[in-house]
Amino acid sequence: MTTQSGRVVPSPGKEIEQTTQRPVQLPLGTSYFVERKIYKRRRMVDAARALPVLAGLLWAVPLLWSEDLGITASKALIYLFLTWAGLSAATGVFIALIRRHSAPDRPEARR
Amino acid sequence: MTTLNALAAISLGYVILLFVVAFVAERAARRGRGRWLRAPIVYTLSLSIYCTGWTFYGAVGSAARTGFEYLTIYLGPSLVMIGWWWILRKLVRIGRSQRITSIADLISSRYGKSNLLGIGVTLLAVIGTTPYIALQLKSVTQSVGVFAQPDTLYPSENPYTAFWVAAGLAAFTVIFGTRNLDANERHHGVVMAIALEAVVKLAALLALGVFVVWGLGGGFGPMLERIDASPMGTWDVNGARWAGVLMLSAAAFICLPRMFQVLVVENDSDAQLRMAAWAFPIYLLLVSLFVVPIAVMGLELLPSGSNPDLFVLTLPLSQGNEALALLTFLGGFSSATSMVIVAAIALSTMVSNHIVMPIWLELRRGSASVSGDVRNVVLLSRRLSIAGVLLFGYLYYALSAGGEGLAAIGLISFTGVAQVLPAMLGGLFWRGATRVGALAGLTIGFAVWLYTLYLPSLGEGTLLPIAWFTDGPWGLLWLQPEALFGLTGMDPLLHAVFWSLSLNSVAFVAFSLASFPSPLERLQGAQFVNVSQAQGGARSWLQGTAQTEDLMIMAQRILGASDAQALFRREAQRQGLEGELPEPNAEFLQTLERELAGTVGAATAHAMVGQIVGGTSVSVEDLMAVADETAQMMEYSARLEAQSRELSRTAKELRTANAKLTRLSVQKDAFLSQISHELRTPMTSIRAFSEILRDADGLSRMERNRYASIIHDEAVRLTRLLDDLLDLSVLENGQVNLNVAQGRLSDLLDRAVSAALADDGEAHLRIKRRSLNEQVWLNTDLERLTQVFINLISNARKYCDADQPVLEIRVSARSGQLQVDFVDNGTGISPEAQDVIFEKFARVGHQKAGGAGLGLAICRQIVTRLGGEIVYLPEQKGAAFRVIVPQETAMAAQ
Repeated sequence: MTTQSGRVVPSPGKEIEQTTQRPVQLPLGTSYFVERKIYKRRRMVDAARALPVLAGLLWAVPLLWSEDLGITASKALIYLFLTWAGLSAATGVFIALIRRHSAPDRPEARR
Repeated sequence: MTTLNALAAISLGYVILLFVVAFVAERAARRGRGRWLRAPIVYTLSLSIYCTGWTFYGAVGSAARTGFEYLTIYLGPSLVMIGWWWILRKLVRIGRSQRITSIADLISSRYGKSNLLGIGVTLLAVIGTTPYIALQLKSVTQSVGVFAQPDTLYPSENPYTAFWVAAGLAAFTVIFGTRNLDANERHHGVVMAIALEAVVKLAALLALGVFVVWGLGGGFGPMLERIDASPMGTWDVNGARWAGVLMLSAAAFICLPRMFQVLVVENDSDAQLRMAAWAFPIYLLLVSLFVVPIAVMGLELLPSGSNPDLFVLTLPLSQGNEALALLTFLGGFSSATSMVIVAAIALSTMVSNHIVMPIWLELRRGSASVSGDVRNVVLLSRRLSIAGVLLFGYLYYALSAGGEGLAAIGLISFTGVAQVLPAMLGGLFWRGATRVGALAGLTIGFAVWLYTLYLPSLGEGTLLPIAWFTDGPWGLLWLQPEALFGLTGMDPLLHAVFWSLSLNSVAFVAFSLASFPSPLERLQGAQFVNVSQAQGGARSWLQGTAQTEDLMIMAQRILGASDAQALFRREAQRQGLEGELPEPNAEFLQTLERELAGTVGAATAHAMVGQIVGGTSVSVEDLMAVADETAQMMEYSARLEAQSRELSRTAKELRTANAKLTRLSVQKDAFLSQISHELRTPMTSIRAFSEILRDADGLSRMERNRYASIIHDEAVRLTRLLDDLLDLSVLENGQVNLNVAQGRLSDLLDRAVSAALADDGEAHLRIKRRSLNEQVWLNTDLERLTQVFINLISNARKYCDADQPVLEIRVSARSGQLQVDFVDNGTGISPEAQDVIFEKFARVGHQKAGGAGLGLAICRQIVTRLGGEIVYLPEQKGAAFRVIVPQETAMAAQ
């Protein structure tokens, strides 16, 4: 399927330049940056995928708290709410990064 | 003190506000100005129906009773949202591309649009959700009771309150939930109203939390100390329940019908999900942030024995803060009502689509029905279903009389709807999942859930005999409802979750492996599992202009740059837009598709536009049509190739013919000058000698005789030339009569040789013959054939340029033909002259022998008349001619 859609909608930089009359910024070597962008985007997606695994691990930590440790309620609450906030924020950050890497030369949103 | 009337008035005012908001939103959406309705923040807030009245009031109660376990209820959904890339992204895309209307619809469409599965999931959802609706009615009634009897620890509940609340909710849901029958089932008014309610309940909890921590608890630090000093001061959570309930709530988050409604059905774009992925966990965090402080302060300040479920109301009331109490009341009211509204919409859609409509269509089978007819029936069945669901909920509430069993119904309901999870996840990620597997898994999971959790929750002895719990049914110990297969001592909830989900999954996988799916199932399976690949990764991030740009690129490739740009500019102008790129609306897409279809065919154009726009998936018919068009194109191009090959062959033949014609023309010109010279030479001498005879006197008799014989000779020569020409013309016009007679080939050759060499005084041409082969009888025109032989022999005599010229005459019979070859030992005829020597007036080289160039042409005409052939044999030592005559005549004569 990917190849099929790739065949139907090829997106070489040259033609996009033609349609929107944007100035050509990098005459050659553009491919290097595009490649890098795609690479970066994939790693960000990996990170987004890994986050729930991390969340599961972090939230499984309370299972290890035995009574001997004497974990106080306040410490437990602070730990849980901090991981919660941190994971939510990380999710947002990765989404923003994925967006930035996948919407490359767009000067401004049109809608 | 807030009176009940004031409370009723405030509630009514709040409900009217909700009506107005919903009405305005609905109107804006219908006028197409509802972009703000689809804002990601609205979507995120609408997800808050997860936090029902049960969680609004019950979380504090749960915290006061069992400590920190309440957190798992919120951590589970947060986990799902944080892991949105795995499940939700795919679910939402499938929901959009397949136009899924409910979770029953999802399961049914995935497994080959099976209505049996749809009915099963609908029943499961109704059974699992109705008690939950009853619970919401209970929470509202209870909270009203707090205001009615502020001094009692456990205020009694007024069933009428529940009835009026249920009736009001039914009215709201019918008005805004069945307003339109859109294909995508989106309810902008309802979503907007529940987004507002989400804000109210969050604000209420935060306000109460701030009041408790900074107003009563003395600030952040002291509050933490109070928590540590309270009965719930140390971490004491059952690990199994922590993990189990966390997973259960995560599963329920995507399986609950109402959550599926707001998560998937009401979803409009990936952008909404991208915001919800991080913002909704934050919302849940904020909702649960102050639960423990409120519980701790409630335990500390309120008289012991107070109902901890009502701390959020009784705590501010006991402190004399009635405004805050009213706000939290509205928060609780919002939580309960928004859940009921969405649950009723989701259930009514399922009941109407999977139960009522199939039955109605079955009953109406055969009778002609117009489309408006069906529309009204659907709306009516939805409205009746909503009323039915709420009535069912109210009856459940009234009959269970607010029993303690109701409080636990939240997690029981979660477990029930989580039975859909294996079929759903299996359907999304595993193409091998089949309808039979899903049906088996659901049935077994549902049965185990009913037996181990739902029925026991109604109370021992209500539906299941008490003896079953101790000894098992009919004394079968391993079938005890809360200790299945001898698994004793386990928490009843975890026990039920464990057995129902594991047996469900095992049955699902086993039956899927054992059964074979129908074609429709396999098709749907492929579409569901591959939905992300089909839409392409990067493209889905950019809506609107990105699509148009992609369309532009494609159109340029097909139509050419200038044409495509002109088309897009024209369309943009027609839409009243400034730029070069039009909006990709249906009209534009249709125009573009038509334009493209002119070039690549309709099916291909449709598939290509569909690929880019992505909204509609490409059907098998589309692909087949594409394949068909491609085959036609290939056939067409093959035909073109064949034609072009033929054309080039014809052109080559024409070139050859042209060269031959040119050569012939040159030869004809040369002959004309030759023939005029030939005619002129004898004429000149005839004229000259006849003038001498006429004018000169005193010529001796001998001289006169000599001159007269010259004139005679020249006249004979002229006559012979003219005879030849006449002969040829007669032969060519087919006016010759053949004089067929029998004769021996050797006789013919003898005559020909003697005639040809008769006037050759020196006779230096030697003839080689093999007389044995020549004893063949012929039945043909002997005179004409002899004429041919004479011509060939005298040609050899005239043109053979060897020092000692030799002519070999070979006779052979081959495949019914008699071949007579005349081969000399000269230099032969040059290749370029070979194919013109049989033409008229053709003469080779210098005309030392002075023939008219008609001999071979006459030979060919004669042989053709005789049914044979005369050819020049190339690649012999000298000039070689072969005369072929049919042998039947010869054999017959023998």
